[in-house]
Amino acid sequence: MTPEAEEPSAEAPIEEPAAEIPIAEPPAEAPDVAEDLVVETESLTVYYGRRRGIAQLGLAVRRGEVYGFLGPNGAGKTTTLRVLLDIVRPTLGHASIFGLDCQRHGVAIRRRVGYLPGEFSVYPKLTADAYFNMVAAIRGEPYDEAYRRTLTERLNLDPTHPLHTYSRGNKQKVGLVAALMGRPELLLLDEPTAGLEPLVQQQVLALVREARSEGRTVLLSSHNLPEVQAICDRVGIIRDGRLIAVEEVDALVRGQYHRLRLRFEHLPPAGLLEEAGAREVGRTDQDVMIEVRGSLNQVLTRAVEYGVLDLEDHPFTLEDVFLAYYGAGTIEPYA
Amino acid sequence: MLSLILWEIRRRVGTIVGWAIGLGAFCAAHQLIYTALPDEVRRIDVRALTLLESLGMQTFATFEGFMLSTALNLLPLLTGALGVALGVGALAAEESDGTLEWLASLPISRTRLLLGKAIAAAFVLLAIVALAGLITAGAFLALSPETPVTAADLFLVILVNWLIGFVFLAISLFLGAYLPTRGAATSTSATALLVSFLGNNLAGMAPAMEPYRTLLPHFYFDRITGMWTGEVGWLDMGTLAAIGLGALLLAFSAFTRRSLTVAAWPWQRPRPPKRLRTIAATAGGTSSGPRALASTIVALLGLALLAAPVAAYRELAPVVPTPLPTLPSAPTATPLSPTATSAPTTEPTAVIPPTSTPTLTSSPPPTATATITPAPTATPVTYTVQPGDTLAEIAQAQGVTLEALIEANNIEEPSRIEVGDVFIIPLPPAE
Repeated sequence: MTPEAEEPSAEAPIEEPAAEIPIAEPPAEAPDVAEDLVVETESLTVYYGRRRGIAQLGLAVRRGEVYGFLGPNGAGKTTTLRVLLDIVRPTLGHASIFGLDCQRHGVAIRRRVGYLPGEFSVYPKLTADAYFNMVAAIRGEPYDEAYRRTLTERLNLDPTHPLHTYSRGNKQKVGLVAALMGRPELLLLDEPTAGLEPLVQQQVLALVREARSEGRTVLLSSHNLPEVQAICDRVGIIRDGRLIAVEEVDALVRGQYHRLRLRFEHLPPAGLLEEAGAREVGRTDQDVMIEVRGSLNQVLTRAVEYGVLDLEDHPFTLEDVFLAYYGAGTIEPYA
Repeated sequence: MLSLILWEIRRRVGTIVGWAIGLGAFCAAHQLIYTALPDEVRRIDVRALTLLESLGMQTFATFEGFMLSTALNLLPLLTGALGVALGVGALAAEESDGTLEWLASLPISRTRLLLGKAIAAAFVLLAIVALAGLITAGAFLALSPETPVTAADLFLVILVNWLIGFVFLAISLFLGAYLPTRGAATSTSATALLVSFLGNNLAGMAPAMEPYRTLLPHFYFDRITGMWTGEVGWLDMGTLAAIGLGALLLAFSAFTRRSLTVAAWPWQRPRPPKRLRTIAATAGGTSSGPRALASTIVALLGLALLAAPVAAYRELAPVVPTPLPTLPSAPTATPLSPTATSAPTTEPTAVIPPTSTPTLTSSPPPTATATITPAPTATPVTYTVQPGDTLAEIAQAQGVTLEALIEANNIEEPSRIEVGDVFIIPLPPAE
């Protein structure tokens, strides 16, 4: 852990000097970026003594995507982010960012990463402006003064007061500006909208989208499902320190899964629709509620034989998916 | 890293001003007290009072003696406390407050983070001590008490307190890097400070504890203050610097090794279940091999530095459980020899030991020894060497001849005696 060991490697693999003017990349073509991983962990395990932090976690975040890290408090989201920044050392396994090992090349990695801690703490006596200057000085990079002003205005933050006078939400804004102002290649945001008022939350989501449109990568943790559904390309669901599912939000919410309520003239016998690939989740004397993955053809063909009077679509939300993994719902994870 | 240092210092400007004024006022006030002391108080020889002596009191007869007994006696404790406050504030407090997590997420290595913080804290400490010294020297010039000491001497003797502050800064940095919480780091560092300060003073009372004094930083610091009474204690300064650097190396080793923010005690730190460890072994293990080795080497180096002074000073502390030195009781010491007050003033230079001279001459006059001797059977009268003593002075003060003293104690090199040596005082020649 000598500076010498970390410094030289800092220069080698940087593709673009951090905190430059953003390169407005053309809309990323999905097939091309598929294997370009920015964050990668392999059987990552952290134990706090005998207590588990995360276990055998394999995370893969592609370049240019917004990845949502979902899970209740204590599931291991923050621990994972801290391992990526070499704040917490893994007990087992590996983590890498930009193809560099998080422990060995921590400085080179962190130069290209902006981080918002889940519990953002500040030096009480500094003003927000002084704090931003301190961040810039320690990071040792020139940064875009105008962009910082834009950020504080958009987040509705007055940066001239000492930080101890700020409310929790305002402190959160300070942390967001500090993380965003260098336009880092990778943003690690631990619950970025927690404690913010709705209008500012929308601004934060807009900023995340802008980062993506500039070709930058965002890994954010949250337990606000509508928000994740609104901005994330993919979600990883973590339970008890294990990544139990990774879902493409688009596929999930639009298309892949269907949940239908069918009203029949004659109720089909139980199990009949299941033969056609559906999964029956409830029935009354007239209705059957089914869930279908993939094509509806087979199920509907079979259903028509019993006279379908009515068909209602009950689209899945991320919440359903989430609850499914936490035991209350029915969807099975991707194979 | 430079910008980190500058920011750390900038954040502490208030601390610098506050502590400097506080410490400066503390020393200046004692000078004011000295100039206001009535004559009869000045003539009280506190050495006669065993308890006060054990707390490091020397004499009120001279300005130097008074300052060394009061303000300068407590200053190493205060500076040590300042070092603890700075050291705990630099790491442990920031970790408990959560700001350390954010600092660690910046592109700066752990080594540089700690180095920057240590340098900044050491500088803050230096600024405080130097400013306090200037304030004190200024007050000295304004009051101009009658003494051979100059304002520059006073400034230096205060400035040297930086060393003891640095030692405890380093120790508390290490404890902050090793222990999980601010509370744990504060309480252990403060305990170490109190043990060092009080232990060193109290060990002076109990010769059986004498060997253990060399474990205490304040023992070495006390010997440095001899710069008023003799030569500059470079060796002791080096010892303190070595202790500080050793603790600092341990801090680096501890800080670069562990996970931050997890508030785990050492025994709670990662130990995965055995089953997982075997999986890891087959999968190639974690990537920390060479780095763990480097940090272990740093830690061993630190321990070696910590141990070196103790080894070097071994011969200073004879492990002979001697009977308590029978100090003259308070009443018998009252007939103060007039030389006590005249000795320092008659000496034009400050090089000779002015403070220790009165302490010696005020030791039992021949008559006092005579009152003890009626029971010369089993327990011999002994004397523990104080800073600045010479064999001849001891012999004179105890009313025996130099030859008798040398013979009774089998001293081979009379010019080389060490503080803490215990001599048997032979019976004076029959009258």
